[in-house]
Amino acid sequence: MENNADQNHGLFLKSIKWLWRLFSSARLAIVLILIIAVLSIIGIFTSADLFSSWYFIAIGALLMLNILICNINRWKGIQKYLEGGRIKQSEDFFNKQDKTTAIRDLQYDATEVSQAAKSILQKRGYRLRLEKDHDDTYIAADKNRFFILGTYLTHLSIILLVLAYIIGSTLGFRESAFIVAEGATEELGYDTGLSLQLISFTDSYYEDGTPSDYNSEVILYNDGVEVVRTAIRVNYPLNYEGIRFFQSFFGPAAVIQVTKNGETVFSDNLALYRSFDSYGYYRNIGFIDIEESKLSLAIITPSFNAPDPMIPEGQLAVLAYKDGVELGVHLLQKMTPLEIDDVILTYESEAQYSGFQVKSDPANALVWIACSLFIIGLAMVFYFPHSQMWLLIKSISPGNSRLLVRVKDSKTFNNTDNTAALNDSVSGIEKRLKENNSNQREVPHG
Amino acid sequence: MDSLESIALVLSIASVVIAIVLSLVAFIRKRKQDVHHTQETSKAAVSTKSAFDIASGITVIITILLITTAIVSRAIETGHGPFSNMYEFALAFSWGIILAGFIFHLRYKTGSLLNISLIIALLLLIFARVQYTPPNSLIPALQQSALLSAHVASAVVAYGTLTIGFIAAVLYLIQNKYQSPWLPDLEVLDNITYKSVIIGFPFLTLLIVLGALWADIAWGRYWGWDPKETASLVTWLIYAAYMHTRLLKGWKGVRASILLIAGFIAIAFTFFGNYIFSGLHSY
Ligand code: HEM
Repeated sequence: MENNADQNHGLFLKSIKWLWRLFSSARLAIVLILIIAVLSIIGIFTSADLFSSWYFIAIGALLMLNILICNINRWKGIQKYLEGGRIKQSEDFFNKQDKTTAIRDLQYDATEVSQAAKSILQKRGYRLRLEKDHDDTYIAADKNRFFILGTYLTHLSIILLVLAYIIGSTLGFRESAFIVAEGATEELGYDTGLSLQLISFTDSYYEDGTPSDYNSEVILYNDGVEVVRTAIRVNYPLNYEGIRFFQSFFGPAAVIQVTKNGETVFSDNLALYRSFDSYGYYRNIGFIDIEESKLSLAIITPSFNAPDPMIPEGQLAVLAYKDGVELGVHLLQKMTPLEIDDVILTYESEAQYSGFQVKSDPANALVWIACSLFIIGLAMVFYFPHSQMWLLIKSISPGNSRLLVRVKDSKTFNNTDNTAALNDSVSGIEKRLKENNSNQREVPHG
Repeated sequence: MDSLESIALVLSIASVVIAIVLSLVAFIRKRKQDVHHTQETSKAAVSTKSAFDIASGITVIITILLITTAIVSRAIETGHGPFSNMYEFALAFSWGIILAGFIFHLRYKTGSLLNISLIIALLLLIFARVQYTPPNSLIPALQQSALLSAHVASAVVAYGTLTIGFIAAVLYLIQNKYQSPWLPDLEVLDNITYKSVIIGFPFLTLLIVLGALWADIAWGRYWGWDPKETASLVTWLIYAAYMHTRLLKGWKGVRASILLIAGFIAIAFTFFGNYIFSGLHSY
């Protein structure tokens, strides 16, 4: 029994290790990134539903796990870079004889060469760490070491972005058709206690007929108390404590009064916000329910895409149902009372309604923070590349020394640039030595 | 204003053609010299500039100034940056490609790269001329001038440099196969592709982020899987894949070039996407 448990335990550990290795692999990352790219292309041509499918989300989740484990795994290596690694390298290390190494025999004392090397490298912005061994000097130089932390910004900001998206879509809400007619006040709901009154809506057009502005003058109430009075326009949403109202669409409304036995049973500006197609004529429609009479009234506008053969301009059609039974269609003229069953309808005036999108996203700021961090991280890694150089200055005899230099063959920093940095440093050192010497010659001896 | 804009556009097309001819001549003369001189191993003679070099350089600068004139006079007329239709964007894009090609040429002395970027820019300028749209008034959603101008500016930098990366990648594949003395060394080409991504990728990211920011302000949704948005995400993912294969798997050369070509196809697809799918974007 015990043996069996041990075995299970071992198997468990083994599979955890295997999973860890799998998710810290760059190959998996590349494969996942390409799979998401391919799925996205398919999504473009088929339907956006793909992006909420279980397999798309699953691949995305795997990539997030991949990023997380990959970055945890890299921490040890990064730490080594931050410390700077070993200073003393063997002579073989410098003997690569390619573009990453340089060896110079110099007719100067080793101390003079190491002085020149130190000052040149410092001038180039390198951090230096030295070790002496008899007359030989070992130098490890590095530059921009803290900027490698930028990779954490790029990767973790992606996880942050995804988290922000999830938080926003679970804790927040989106109302994509919040409709308010002119003069009316509507409650937003979602336990916000907010209601919005539309004072007026204006749509303006350029001379050529393209729209130039959609403007809703509104008052926002919180638990019945006026809190904001402003205009909502496209690109200028109303933001109240993180709940944002966006101008989205608009349409016709009608101020209608309904009386029954001389008592008003309905009096409001009715948004005719639904449009429907009947034999190629598009009309808008809105509904009034009169419970007292079990009446349901559908109020219909003239067609907006072509001259209407049935409903004259400036009038409305009323389709009435009582208890689900159709009573017939009537035309409703402005300020001309119309009797249907036991109620009287009056069409007082034309108006408009305005449609808003309302969005509450508690993580909205986080989205933009994550995006900024990603770009900052990219800039850190790309424009402040980490580079490392090792030098060995060997004393051969008084007045003779050998300078050995090797630059890190890094993939982030392009090798062409590494070679350039190497050559620049070596020639800088040589130049400095020459200058020092000619200066000395110029100084007259005491 | 209108006439200055179209005069500048027509002149810039003429001037690109002249620049292409001049730099082709300069390029051919220099390569002949190169081949000749490598036998005599005289490096000094090779680096001297011919009159054609100088003339083509000046013509390229004139072209850039002419396109700038067209863009600026258009912007003065419309009161906003070049973001309201394909004509304006093609103009800005051609400007970005020539400028990027010229800067990379100054830095890496690669005449062939400059030539091809001039040819691509010429095609775009002709496209712009054909697509010419008189200034149209901005619909409310596009009345976000600062943000959208920054959005297009990032696109110009990103697409301009990544186009150069694409050209270098294609040249890499050719050079890898034929080892032509006419084309830059493989190492130089590879370096150019990498540098183009180092500049292009952050701006590509900025482009997408600014687009999302605009969508958030205009509609309250920063991401909606709209085809154009998704296409730009695909582009971004391809370049992310390039970074990872390069940094982690050491992919250089052929395989890296193929990825960059795929990335450029994605860019072209995103750019011309509104002819393929309909979306909210006007360009
Ligand atoms: C869509 C997801 C990803 C994006 C956009 C992304 C982005 C980047 C970028 C731009 C770089 C180069 C610059 C830098 O180091 O910051 C990079 C490097 C790197 N990425 Fe990613 N990455 C993603 C996913 C991953 C995953 C899942 C892994 C885990 C295997 C990973 C591991 C690495 C590593 C190890 C480097 C090299 C850093 C270096 O040595 O300089 N990345 N990534």
